[in-house]
Amino acid sequence: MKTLKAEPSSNNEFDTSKETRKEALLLTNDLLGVINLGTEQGLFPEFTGHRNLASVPFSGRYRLIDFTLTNMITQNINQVGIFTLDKYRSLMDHLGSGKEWDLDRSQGGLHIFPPALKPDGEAYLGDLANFSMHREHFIRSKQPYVVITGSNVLTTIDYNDMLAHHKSMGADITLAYTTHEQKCGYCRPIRLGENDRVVGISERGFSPDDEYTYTETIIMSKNLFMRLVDEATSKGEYDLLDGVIRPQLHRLHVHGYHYVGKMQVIHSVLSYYNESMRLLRGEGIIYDFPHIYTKIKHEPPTRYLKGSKVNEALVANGCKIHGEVQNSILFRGVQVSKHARVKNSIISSKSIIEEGAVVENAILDKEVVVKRGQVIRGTIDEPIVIAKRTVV
Amino acid sequence: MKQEMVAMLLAGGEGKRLGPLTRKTAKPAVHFGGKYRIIDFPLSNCTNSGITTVGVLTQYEPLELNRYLGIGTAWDLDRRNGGLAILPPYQAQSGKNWYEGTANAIYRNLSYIDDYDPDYVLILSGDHIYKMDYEKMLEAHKEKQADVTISVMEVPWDEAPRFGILNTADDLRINEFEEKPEEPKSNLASMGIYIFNWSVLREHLIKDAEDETSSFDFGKNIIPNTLLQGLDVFAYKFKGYWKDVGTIQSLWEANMDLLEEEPPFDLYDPEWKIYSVNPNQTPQYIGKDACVEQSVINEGCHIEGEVQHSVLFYDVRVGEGSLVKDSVIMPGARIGKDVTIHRAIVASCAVIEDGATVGEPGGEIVVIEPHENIESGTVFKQRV
Repeated sequence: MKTLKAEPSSNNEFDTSKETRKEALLLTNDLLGVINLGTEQGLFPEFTGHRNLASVPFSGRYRLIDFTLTNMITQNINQVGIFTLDKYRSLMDHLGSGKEWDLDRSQGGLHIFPPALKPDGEAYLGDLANFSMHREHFIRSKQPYVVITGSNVLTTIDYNDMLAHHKSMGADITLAYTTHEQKCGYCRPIRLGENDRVVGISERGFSPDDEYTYTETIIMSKNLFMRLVDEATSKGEYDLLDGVIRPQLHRLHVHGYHYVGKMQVIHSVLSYYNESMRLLRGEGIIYDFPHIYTKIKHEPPTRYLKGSKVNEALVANGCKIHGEVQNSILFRGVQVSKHARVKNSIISSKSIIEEGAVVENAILDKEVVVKRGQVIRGTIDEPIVIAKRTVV
Repeated sequence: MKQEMVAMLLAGGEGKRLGPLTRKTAKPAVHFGGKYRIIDFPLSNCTNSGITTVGVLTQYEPLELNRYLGIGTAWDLDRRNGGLAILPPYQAQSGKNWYEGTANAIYRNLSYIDDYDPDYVLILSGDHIYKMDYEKMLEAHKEKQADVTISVMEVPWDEAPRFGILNTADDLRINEFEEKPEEPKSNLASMGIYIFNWSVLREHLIKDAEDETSSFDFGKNIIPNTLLQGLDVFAYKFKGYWKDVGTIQSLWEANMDLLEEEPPFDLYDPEWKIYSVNPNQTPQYIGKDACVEQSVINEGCHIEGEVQHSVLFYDVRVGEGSLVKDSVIMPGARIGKDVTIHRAIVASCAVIEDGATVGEPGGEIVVIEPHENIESGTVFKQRV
């Protein structure tokens, strides 16, 4: 903490000035937000048995989708379509009418698209059929550009700056890349040619020679997007990036936009655990947003009882802490009873750690009960995951 | 469209005895309990009791309150029919006037109530911390076939002279109302919560408005008049936590009540949630060398020092080496390093710079004003 002089971070509880970014924003926005969940299927099965990745709880009181949505709405993108693929009940419940994100609008607003199905009820492969099936959404929207991104790569990309870059370079497609951190097995490396033109997009997985990481964010004009979707679906392609953009890198002008901010990628138990622990070191992306919007639960503040010992912890509201919590994240409404110990762990909402129980190097999904005196212990490299509503 | 019962919430109070906390804001907007404002309690009670039409009467310094209430979304009161309406005094053909008293405020909004053609009107104030099911009170009102029902609670006999005391028969029929009696005959104090049959209230408000000697007040005029007329006025006994937070001392005490191991007032009941406007803060962060015990802490706080037996609202910073004890720290306050705070209410966005001392153990409750800056090294034990 810096030395404190008479400079409160905000002079007014209702101060909204910090929500505006480096320059004044336009009243209307040329970007149509597209959150494509179609490429995130099947990741991280331990946590996505009953929900899709976008609704995995993260950072004490959020779900992954909150970060992309917040980044969009704080940049004045006021129409967002979410293309789901499966298990979207929990996501729909979370998003509701979009009220919390100011997306309950008569102009624009939030649109949630259930997956496109084949006549026999089977799901299509990939994301293209989904876009194609819901092409009416793109025709009706007024914005001339689309920004397409997902939910599990968390960034604070300035989409408006990226769009300005896209226009000034005269690119057909602009994709954002980053140069540092996250050389993870999930990410796709890209290769850049002269003037930051994208000359190669690799399969997922990093080799030591790779320099640039794709951040799963693309901007292009809506017209081009629709043309590409139509062409590709008619040829039987099913994946936007692999089936459409990669094969045409020589034909289309695909440009790289250098994103210099933080990135957090959630794609496996270990990445979930490590990215969560980064938050406790003050490194996470949550500190780069002035506010992050999420579903409101009206939990009371957290109570610390006599004898509680809490250090290096990120704690949401509605918790009741009587025991010891160290280097951990507690979601809303968690109870840590007397003499219970929680260390290096992530405890999801409404879980209860009873008297004398020990939880170490673990990830507890929602509403888990650890009975009196029980011990749950994983390792830093292999945190143990306890499924929703388990009683241990 | 017709509503069975409309609530009218008197929120124009100045709350003079809260001093600097109400210099620029109405009393109902004063912060309470780490997350709430006083008005959240009657509004949440309405929502939880199934009352969906609430008129909020404002007058004194309404800006912060109005912004907070919005269209009532936080309390589920953004409704197509009814919902929350802010009712400030307005200019009419009959003249331009401020609300002259509690009864006058309602009288001036007769047409608001008439629009809903209610059978009953519930009168509330934005001064108290309590949870109450108004629907049960309405049931009692109907059961007794009353014209007026007044919510009462038993207070200690020695404190009764501070209250409006109601003398009742065994069936709770009220036969006398005494404002602050020196020798009380009963210890049933009026809570300032009334249910009226709308036709009865309407008639009395009109009559009261014509009486030039009236002070246009429910306690002083309307209630005594209904008793004089021999109407059926009944008491409704409320049991539970009910606290007037009209003074610095009582506001501090009510906050401290939340810190007991089994608090007398439970904010954690999922069946009776208290709703409030969400400030969208990140979870609280408790640092490496921090120590937090017996405290209620809200989101957005960042604690590096020691917090003992205190209530912290959202977005408060407590620096390394600091101690906050027996205190209430309101939203956005910044507490630097090596600061010591005892028995204080630090109002929103105040700054206590490094090394300052505020209050003392066993001392008077000290109030640091909104946006006040206590300079580095200052010892501030009492406001002179």
